[in-house]
Amino acid sequence: MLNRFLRRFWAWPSELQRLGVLGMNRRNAELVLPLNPRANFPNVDDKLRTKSLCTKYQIGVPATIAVLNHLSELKKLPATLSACSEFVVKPARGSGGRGIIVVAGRHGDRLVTPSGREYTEADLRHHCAEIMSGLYSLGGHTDSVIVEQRIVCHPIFNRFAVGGTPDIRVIVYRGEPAMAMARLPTKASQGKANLHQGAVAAAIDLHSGTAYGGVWRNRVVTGHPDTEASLADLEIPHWPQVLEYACRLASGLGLGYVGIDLVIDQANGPLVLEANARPGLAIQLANRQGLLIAIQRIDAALSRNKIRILPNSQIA
Amino acid sequence: MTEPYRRRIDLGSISISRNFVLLIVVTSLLLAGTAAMLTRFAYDGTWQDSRTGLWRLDYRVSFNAQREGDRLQIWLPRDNPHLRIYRQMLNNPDLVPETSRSAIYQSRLNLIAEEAGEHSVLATFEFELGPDVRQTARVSEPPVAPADMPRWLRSTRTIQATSDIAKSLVSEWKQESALTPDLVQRIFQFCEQELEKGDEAWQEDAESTLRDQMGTDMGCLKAMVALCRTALIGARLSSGFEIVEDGEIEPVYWVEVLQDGIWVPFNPVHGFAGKLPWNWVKVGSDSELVVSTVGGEDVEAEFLLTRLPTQHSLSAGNRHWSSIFDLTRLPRKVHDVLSLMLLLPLGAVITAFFHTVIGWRTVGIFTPALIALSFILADWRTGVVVFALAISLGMVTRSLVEPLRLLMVARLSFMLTLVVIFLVLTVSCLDYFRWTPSADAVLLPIVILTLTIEKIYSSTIEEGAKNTAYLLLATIVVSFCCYLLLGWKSIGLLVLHLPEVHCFTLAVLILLGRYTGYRLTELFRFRDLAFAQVSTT
Repeated sequence: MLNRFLRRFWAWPSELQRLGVLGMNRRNAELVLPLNPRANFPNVDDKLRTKSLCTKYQIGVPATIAVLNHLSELKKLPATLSACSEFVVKPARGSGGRGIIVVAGRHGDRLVTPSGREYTEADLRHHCAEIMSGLYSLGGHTDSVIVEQRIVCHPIFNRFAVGGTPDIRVIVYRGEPAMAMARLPTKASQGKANLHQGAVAAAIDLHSGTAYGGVWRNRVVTGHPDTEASLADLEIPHWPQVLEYACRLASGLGLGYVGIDLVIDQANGPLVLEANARPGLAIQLANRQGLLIAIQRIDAALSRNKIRILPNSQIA
Repeated sequence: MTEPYRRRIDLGSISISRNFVLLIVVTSLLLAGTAAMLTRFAYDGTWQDSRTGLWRLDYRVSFNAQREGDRLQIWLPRDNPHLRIYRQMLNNPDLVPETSRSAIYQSRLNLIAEEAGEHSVLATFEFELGPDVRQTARVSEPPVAPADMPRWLRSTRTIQATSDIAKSLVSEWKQESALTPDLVQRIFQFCEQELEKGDEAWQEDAESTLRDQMGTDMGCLKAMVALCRTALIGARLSSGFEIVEDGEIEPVYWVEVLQDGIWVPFNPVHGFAGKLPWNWVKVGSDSELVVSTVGGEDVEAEFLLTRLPTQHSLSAGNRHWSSIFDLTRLPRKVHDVLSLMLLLPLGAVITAFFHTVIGWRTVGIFTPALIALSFILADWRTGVVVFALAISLGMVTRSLVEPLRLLMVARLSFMLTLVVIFLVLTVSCLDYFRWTPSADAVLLPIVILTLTIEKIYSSTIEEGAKNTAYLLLATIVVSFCCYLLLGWKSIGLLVLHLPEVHCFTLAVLILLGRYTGYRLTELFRFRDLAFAQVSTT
């Protein structure tokens, strides 16, 4: 009785161990430190380098419109963007989605975001200057501004995302996909695919690319809280390509344990947004399964030189 | 060759080789720390006691002589097995010293005023103190002459040796045993255990203390003297100083009982018998006052104790490279700073523990330890209030600054300037309203404070007020834990005397760094997984 009561508030370490739940300390000590060489961290911390690697390994990325490295280049920004009505401005070394402005159109001489917020060109220039000064960069170092194509979300997500673009996180371990989830924006998350802010995490079956359940604010859900669409109906388009891109990029980055974030563009299919050398552990909650189990499965498969996880032997 | 990112990691257990290296490093650190401490102990057995070493005792005395010939009597410290005076100075303008003719009063200095008026004396003693400073102590006091015995058995106004209550008690105890040692022991037990002590307002003479069975500390001591004298055992009050730490000190008192021609110390208040603590320096005998006057009035005395640098640093000839590891040789005023510096790693251990084992994030990794440190240096109550005010005002100002759209470096500098102005004004206000004696109370780490404001503000925007509140709460709790540890004087003294204890700190940090178990917060975070599993099964 007491045990059941206590279990409501915490799990015993032995229970989590049995479920193969990966903790933060173990992730850092046994996965990130030995598998992710420090020298390769700039490959993920700097989105320009990530993009460059994606291009090298023929992995789809949002098209780059401009890269600004110096404040003097801000003068040219209006001319550069004059032909674009939709674009995204982001810091090259940003994290956690900070400093990103999505422009969905123009209203006269003003730029309008999907949420309806308006920016003047002066505002945009100031924002770019802030990015360059290091306001949004890791460690506060000076940064570059990336202006790139705005993603037009695949229509299949229309029922599963509100006010923003959903993304897909694939955890790649030793070059093989270990676990995946889709992060679906909600009204509560204000269009952001951030789980802390109220986005839905939908577990994705690695074999089929279909969702099989989800978590919203640490509660199990079967449907999207705003649209009530059943998550089981979500089938990620281009799934084999998604996994292929994730695995190929992980090897290109030289990281053994990495989280790859992708979006499915209506016209271009899967595009890599960014990679994370210290991916979070919430994916275990979404999948209701510990990462250690998947990791041990990959270890066993690799030791037999036999990979059964990937669908249809898509990996070359 | 396998690419690095495809290396296999045995997740079932830490590899044996890594475990072995870890074991070797941790064991080496523990052994190094232990060896260093043992070496220090063998080299200098007094390492563990901050009371040993060189000290200076200053007497600052003033009195008003009514007429020529008025005397000022000052009891002075003398050499003993635990104390060696190597320098003494006396500055007594307008006063003529007179050596006491009586052997009893040979350590009492008599100063005679040549004219009426205000006179002052400055006496300074520099001495070495330790459990065994002088292996062969000369007997500083001659044996008690039979002619002097009446003096040690007399009844005085406050030591009433002929009172009925004293007689009644002594006669009762004499029936149990008439032997002097037994009787003295019984008197000591009575005074130590059955007399209630403490309140300044209680009686201070022997008879009242015995009658009420309660009295001041002095009352209890006098009661013991009176009882001894009633039993015809010579006894007297003695005075001295307890050498513990720098600052102004008050005299301490005890009883000396004559047994087999030797004065044996007893103190029913502090609970020692037979042996005076080695850091108690005797100055006066048969006197309640270290400084008194005959004829004069308005005697004021102040006693100031100062720790001096050790002999190693005083004498270049005695210098040895090993003294580099003896931090206590440095000037006393540096000790506190060094002690706090040496405590910082322990603050880091606390922070690492909260991060790694508990799973709490804080605003900045070492911010809690630095905040705690600033509260140690200052008055913590004022520090907390000022800190809370600075954060609140900083947050308000930060939100007001936001529309100005300043670039980061300029904005942080702007906030830094505001924080400095705020703290300086606070110092002025505290002084104006006399709320705190010094500006130390608000000497918070300014840069840390500025960055904390910025971090809290951005956290509020990005992670919401709730998460920021958790972050702030965690920072406060960790800071408080750091404060408790960093403010622990004994620990500060320990790390100052034994900086090698940080070998253990390093070992603990390595073990914390290799801790791969679940954080406590993860047991909460992933509880649903376990619960769902149990529900399913």
